[in-house]
Amino acid sequence: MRKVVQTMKNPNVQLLTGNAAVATAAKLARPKVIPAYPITPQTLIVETISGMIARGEFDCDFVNVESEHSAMGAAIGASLGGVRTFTATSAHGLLYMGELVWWAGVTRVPIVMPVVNRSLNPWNIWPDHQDSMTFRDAGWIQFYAKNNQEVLDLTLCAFKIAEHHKVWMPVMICLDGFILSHTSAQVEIPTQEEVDEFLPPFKPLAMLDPDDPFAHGSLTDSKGIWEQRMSLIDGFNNARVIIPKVFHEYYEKFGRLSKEMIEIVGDINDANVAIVAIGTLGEEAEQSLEVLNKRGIKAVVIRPRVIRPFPKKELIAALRKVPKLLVIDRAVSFGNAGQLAIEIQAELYANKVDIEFHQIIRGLGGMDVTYMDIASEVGKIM
Amino acid sequence: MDNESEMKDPVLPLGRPTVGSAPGPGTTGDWRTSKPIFFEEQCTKCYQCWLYCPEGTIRVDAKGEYPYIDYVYCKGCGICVHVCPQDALKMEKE
Repeated sequence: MRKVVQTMKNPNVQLLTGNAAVATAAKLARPKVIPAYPITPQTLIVETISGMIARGEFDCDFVNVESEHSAMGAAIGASLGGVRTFTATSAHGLLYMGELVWWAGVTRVPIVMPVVNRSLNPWNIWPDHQDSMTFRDAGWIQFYAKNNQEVLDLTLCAFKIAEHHKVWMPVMICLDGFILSHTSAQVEIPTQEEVDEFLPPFKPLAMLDPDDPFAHGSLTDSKGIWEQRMSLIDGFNNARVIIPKVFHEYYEKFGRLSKEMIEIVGDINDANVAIVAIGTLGEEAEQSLEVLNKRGIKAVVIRPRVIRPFPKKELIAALRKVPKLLVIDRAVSFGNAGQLAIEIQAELYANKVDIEFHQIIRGLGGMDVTYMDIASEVGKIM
Repeated sequence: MDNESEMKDPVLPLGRPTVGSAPGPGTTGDWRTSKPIFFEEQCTKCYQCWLYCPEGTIRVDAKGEYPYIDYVYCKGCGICVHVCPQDALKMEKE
């Protein structure tokens, strides 16, 4: 990854919070409608965007809705109306939006929505992945960002992927609340011209038109449901190919992201143990590598940027090279285990990968997980 | 399947409005267990049946014509029989 430093030569680097990075990416992508409702820790996204629109810097209709349920309803309507559509939410807002999140997912409405990860009940505003993991199966592509730069990069890619005619499905960009949303870091911002070259205007596959009317998602018999569900499975298989292509295109143009749906930090060919974690836990795990190295443990971090579609092929190819694995989940599928651990175990078995498997759940309700904590967890299994 | 042109296109849940667009062939008259029978000789063309039919399956093609029943969509609710002041309609088991 290119080092991001603001100099006179590179004035496009700014200090941005994760929320400001989302708002900046949204503005650069030129959506035409943003219906949104504020919720901590996503509020600053909505505030920043409505400010940009009010000051006339951003040509877009901001719909001041009364709830998240209405926000997604309006977003679905706007997208079917034939324009690029964006919204953002978090935690309880996402749950309240729930029914319509499924509508957008399984009926293929290409909306882009950052979810600022926040813990669920009882009241807690700090980060874990329980909110977005609850919607893992809702037919949305899911990205998890490790830092504010990746938030911006993934948001820009999300539009191109969602709107690809062989994908055509909504995308959630998950960023950890406060750790990213409210923490400032250096972010390199592409120019409007560069983004316009990367992201073509919205081209609808089907558009509501009074002169050629159609109903979207009306009563469908089992045969129709089967056909649509199979098509959604095909769509995710297509996305497995399109996502790395778009990431690669982004890399060629901006020098960030890579063509992989996973990021590997460390020398995988010489590692005794791999750590798998998503979001900021993945970046924190990177910091533990040096500590572990001093203790004589050669570790490597494998961080899926994309959870839906699940990057099976990439993960298995990487995990075949290491003898031990520690999976850190920041959410739980109650009654079983962490979602990442469950899914990785399934792939390890299906692909007959001989590896010593360990799993832990950490960081729920915003509990701090430091690189020293991760190093000590790795130490325990060595 | 790395070639984009070989990838399958999405199947979108779009429905076009057509006559009888309910699931299946749209012949919702199949749901009926009994049906109204119309006796022209008793009819005074008051059109109460046409006015009250909740499914719009009693038709009058032009003013002054007798009403007739579209059995493709008539569900046999019997409201027309109930409102007819002339007993020009009777229910009959299918």
